[in-house]
Amino acid sequence: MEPDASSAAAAQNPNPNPSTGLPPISAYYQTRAEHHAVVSSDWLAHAAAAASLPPSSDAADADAASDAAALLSPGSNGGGGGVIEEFNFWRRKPEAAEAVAAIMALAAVIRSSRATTMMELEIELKKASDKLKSWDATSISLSAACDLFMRFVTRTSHLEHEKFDAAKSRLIERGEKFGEISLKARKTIAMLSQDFISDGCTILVHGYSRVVLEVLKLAASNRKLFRVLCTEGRPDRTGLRMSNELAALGIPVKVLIDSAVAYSMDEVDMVFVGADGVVESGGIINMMGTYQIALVAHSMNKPVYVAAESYKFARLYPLDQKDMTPAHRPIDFGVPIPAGVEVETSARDYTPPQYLTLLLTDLGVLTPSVVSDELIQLYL
Amino acid sequence: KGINCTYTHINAISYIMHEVTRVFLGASSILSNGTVYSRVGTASVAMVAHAFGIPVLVCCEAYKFHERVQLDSICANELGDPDVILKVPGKADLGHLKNLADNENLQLLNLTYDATPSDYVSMIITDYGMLPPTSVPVIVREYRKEQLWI
Repeated sequence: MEPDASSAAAAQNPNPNPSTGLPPISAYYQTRAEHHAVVSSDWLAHAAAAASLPPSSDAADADAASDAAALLSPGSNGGGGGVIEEFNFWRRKPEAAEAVAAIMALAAVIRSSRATTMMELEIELKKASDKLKSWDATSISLSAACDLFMRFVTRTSHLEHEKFDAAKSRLIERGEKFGEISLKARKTIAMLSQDFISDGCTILVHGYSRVVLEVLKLAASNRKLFRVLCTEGRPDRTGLRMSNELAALGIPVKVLIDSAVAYSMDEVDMVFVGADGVVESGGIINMMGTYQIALVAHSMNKPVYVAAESYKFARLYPLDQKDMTPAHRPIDFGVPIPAGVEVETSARDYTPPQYLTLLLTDLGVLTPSVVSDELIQLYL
Repeated sequence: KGINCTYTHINAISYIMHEVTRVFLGASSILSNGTVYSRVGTASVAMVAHAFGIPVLVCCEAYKFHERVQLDSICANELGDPDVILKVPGKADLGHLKNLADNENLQLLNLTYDATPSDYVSMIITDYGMLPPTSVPVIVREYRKEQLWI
């Protein structure tokens, strides 16, 4: 079997040249900003300029930001077609992950298809999948979910022998089942993770991950007593949002500035992070800073647990940080940056598998080396 | 119009490694524990690259994967012609060991293969895609199932 085309996307990319001006903002970042209404003045100014809107005097206006983000969204443009509209419908639900929205959209494509042969239906599904992936080339979970959906749905050995109508309804059934599994992934992971949280432990979290939040929420509702340290999560302050949610659940929480991780690591019992994508090497791609935290935890012998849904498993194999398609985001330092000064605007980093202890997924608790095995089973 | 190359001897590997960004290696076989069985010298190159933090990529066809496990290159290897290491091609005057070959306390060892532990390998590139060394057993199993009907 030939390697997936997405593997070719893992080519080395040079750093963007600052003289070309601001790099384009990743649509993935826009999605997250839209969901969580985290707005910086720089981002809003950039969004307003791009949307040809007059700048809003109220930089904290979340509604204005959402409108600007919606205007900027490539999916809002004409010519997106039915699959993009369906995708945007699901994407707007605050609880649905982007990848789950893609899965639901593809399931809808099968349902509404008027194809009369299997080949025709597969081609149609492939086109819809490619359209979704190109909607945001930087989103790993979107790409991975589309690929996994295609494999899950079409990998049925009896399809060739059935009549088309029976085969199509079978595909619909499998597509909907995949969507169901994906929707329940967070709860499954939360239940599996309870064994790792014991009374009296201290947990360090980084980034705003709904899976990690679900894990901690379930532990709190099971009357476990534990403490959480959140990183501040500059520049989009994900830690502040996480600490708000945890405090509302009655969990003792402390916010650390990002550089205070090493200082506080001796009082940490374990690190919990989510993942934007889990790659074939068993490493993860996640919010900037994850790699740094994993290095510190590893050198101080603290376990690093990754809570990630299995639909984020991607056929990518980065060798270093520069192997990934860059996903940029604007950074607001609060003061003007002098002309000629370069700013690193990558939004995420790659953490190699040797710094990760376990992956908590809806397929079970896995060691990083099993990720490749799972992908081989599915794609072979 | 060609590919720019630098040719050097293996003793200079640590010197030249500063200029390297990727190391590509072939393999005679890859064993179940991820060990790369290849021509002698491969392990040295991989270990130096690993020490410099440079990714090591091994290209190997799936049919060369083997279910055997081997921890070092001593318990199984092939001996080459010991006289080969006595001579330097094209330099007949360099025969430092010529008279010492008769010394019964000196044996000449010309090994053909060495074994590179999987710790030094970043990626294995096969016709089944790109793998970490830990996934070799899966390919061995799938390959047998698919190609040999076992």
